[in-house]
Amino acid sequence: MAASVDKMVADQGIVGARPPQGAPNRAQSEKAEGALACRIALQDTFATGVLFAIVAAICALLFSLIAYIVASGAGKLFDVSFLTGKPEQFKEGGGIGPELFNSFYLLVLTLLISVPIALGGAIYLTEYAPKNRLTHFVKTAIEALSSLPSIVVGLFGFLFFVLQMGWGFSILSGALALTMFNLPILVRVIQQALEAIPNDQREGGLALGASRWETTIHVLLPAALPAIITGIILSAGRVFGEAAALIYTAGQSAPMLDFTSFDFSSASCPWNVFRPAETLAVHIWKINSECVVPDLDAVSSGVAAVLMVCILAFNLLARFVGRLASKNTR
Amino acid sequence: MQMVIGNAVQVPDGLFTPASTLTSVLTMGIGNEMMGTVYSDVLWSLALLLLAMSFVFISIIHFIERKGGLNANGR
Repeated sequence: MAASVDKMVADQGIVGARPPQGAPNRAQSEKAEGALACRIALQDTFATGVLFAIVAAICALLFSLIAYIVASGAGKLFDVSFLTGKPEQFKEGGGIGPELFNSFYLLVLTLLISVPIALGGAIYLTEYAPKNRLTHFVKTAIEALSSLPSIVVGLFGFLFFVLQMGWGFSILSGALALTMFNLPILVRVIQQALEAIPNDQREGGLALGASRWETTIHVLLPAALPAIITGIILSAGRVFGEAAALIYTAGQSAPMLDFTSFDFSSASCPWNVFRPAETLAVHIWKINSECVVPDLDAVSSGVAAVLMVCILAFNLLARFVGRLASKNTR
Repeated sequence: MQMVIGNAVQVPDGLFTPASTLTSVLTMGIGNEMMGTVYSDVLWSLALLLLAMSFVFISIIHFIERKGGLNANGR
């Protein structure tokens, strides 16, 4: 019985296996141990090599994608007339001026609407919510909202904001549809940031006589601020590149903007939230599906390059701000 | 996805035949039909199907998570 167990253990090369019973001389058992150690080291090296190759492949894929997009769009990327020009449907030389402005305006509006709601929701869920079925249901609902396909969110926005509320294709409809998208990410990020603060801070605040609300506002939020800001900027990067939710809420037409007009009811006033607004991602989709301009490839690559550069800038900004803010609070 | 899959209205019989996904059919079709026609109703039913599918997947994941949690935390 013991001999068969020993054989099984030795065959599988388990570390620390006893040398087979009945091995008479020391040299033979040492050689067996040496072979075992060699095999284990070989397995280790092989596994490390495979994992390293996988990571290298992923990095290579990412870099080649970024390099291809930026290189093919480089001609239009630095062309100021492209970045500020009017989009064309039938002629050459279209630009993306209105779309660029619309993307940033929509992003700022979405953040303005979603950050306070997400902050309130996350503070409630972390600090105040009792552990009962209602809280569990709310958390499940937030998770469900985040895994909806974006086209479904866009279609709901179309039915409700565009048709039912009567706003038509407008920036407001687009911003509200993107808020529905953005809320779960923000709530999760802020919740994680708040949960990472040790309980001593909360107890200290309460011990000093502050109420729970005062503790949250004056002690917890400043401590969690770097993580919250990083999360907001990362979610902004995601919202910036969103197309499917905006096609049927913010529309596919971009009226030419007149930055000197402050007539809030006209379609060419940039700050009017009830005008249709095509963003960069929607523009890529539209010109590849429907337009017949002669320089289609150049324009499409140019817009893709601009979008890629903006999103990379958002990611880098998030890391930079996070590092800066956490250095300041130390 | 819409730009690479080909959007052919057929059941694919291999890995290299063009096909269409629910989302690409939706994106292309909603703008072209008037509300109230049968084709438009079909497209909205497709959207409902997508919604139902994502709820099913979420419940499956929750179920697995809860089962795993019970086993991990003991009796």
